[in-house]
Amino acid sequence: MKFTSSENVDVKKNVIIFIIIALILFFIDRSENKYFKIIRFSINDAIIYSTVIVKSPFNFAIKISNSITNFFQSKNTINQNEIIELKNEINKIKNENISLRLQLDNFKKIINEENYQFQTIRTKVLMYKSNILQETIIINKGEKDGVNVGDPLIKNNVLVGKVIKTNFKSSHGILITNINSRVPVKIGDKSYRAIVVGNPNTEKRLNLEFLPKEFSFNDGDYIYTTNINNIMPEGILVGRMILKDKNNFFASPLYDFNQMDYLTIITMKR
Amino acid sequence: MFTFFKKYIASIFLLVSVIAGSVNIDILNKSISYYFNLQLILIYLFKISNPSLNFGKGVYLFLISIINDSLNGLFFGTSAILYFIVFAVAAFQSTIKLRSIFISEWFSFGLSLILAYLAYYALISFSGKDLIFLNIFINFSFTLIGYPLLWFIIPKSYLNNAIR
Repeated sequence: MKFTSSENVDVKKNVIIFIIIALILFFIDRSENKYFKIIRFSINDAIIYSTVIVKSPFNFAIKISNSITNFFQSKNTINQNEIIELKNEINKIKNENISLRLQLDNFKKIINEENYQFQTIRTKVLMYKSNILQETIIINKGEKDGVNVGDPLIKNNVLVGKVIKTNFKSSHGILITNINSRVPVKIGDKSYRAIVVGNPNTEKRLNLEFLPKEFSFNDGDYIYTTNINNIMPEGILVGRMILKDKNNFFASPLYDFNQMDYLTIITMKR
Repeated sequence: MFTFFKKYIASIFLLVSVIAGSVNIDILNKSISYYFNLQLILIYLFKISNPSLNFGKGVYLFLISIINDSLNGLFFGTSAILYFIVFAVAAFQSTIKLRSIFISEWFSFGLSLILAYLAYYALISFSGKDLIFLNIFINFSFTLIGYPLLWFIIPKSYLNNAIR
């Protein structure tokens, strides 16, 4: 058994060197240095797309096995995917209708307010990573496609999350159920303003912060985004109010977050 | 070929665990990586089983940590600090021991986890993000419990032959 060999001294030296390098890297990355940003974007894109390529044979194998299972199923069985797609389409139209109605009501109230026009980009979810800090989605559009940090991610006209980090050709996003996500919203017909924050205990509820001192909600009141300082576009659906009694209420997200293969990014030019 | 694979098995296992972390395996509506940190167990387990293992003088460990940071959207260096804390404790433990005593190894693994999670908490707080203490506690507990499971599952020949 070796106690003090040159090998052990080397290990100790290397550990100290790498911890110092890691700390320096951490602080440079955190400082958003513009020269380091280019390096970070390139490294992130290279790693993300390499991982997608490495994982592709496994994903392909899963798809093949699903196809084989479907092939041997009875022809009379209704295709589950088609039902899901149709359900999504109905939800999308329903939500679009509600969203437009809310926007119209709001525009009626605030005549002369600036009317923003936003562009949308369709994006594919490349990966879904989860750790104790956050659940991150990685999408295949980045700064070169016009995506900015803070841009909202929507699906079927419902707010799903927002972009927290961009690279050249990919971006990281978090869901609205994450405790680090903050979205300015209006609630119900009376348009109470608040900030929606993820609930640390459950993903099926959202917390409301900065509510006015006096408020009264109805069960099922819609929660939708509001445009403060051009952070979010007006009128995207976020969730609904669930009232148990007058003082016992919570916000529930409208989207179930299970089918996030494709999303839409609303590009906010700030 | 097989000898080469055995030599690099620690780095290969670690890399696969980082990449495979994006495969959705849910337990009680939470991803499996919410419950435990497989990478920290692997680093400690391989190093304690073979004191001469050095992950390419630390270079492979550092590169894998950068991949993990990139995929998780963390600032570069965050995972590296965690990995090297666990690696340092394992290196120290493997140097002072005269023979393998599972309980003392497990205890020092717990100690390395406490140090690593404290560093993680400090780094995340410094990044201006909120972190739920319960999540850290759950992850810490299951990672600690996961150590003996992997100690039994991974064959000793793999653990002892990994040198790079």
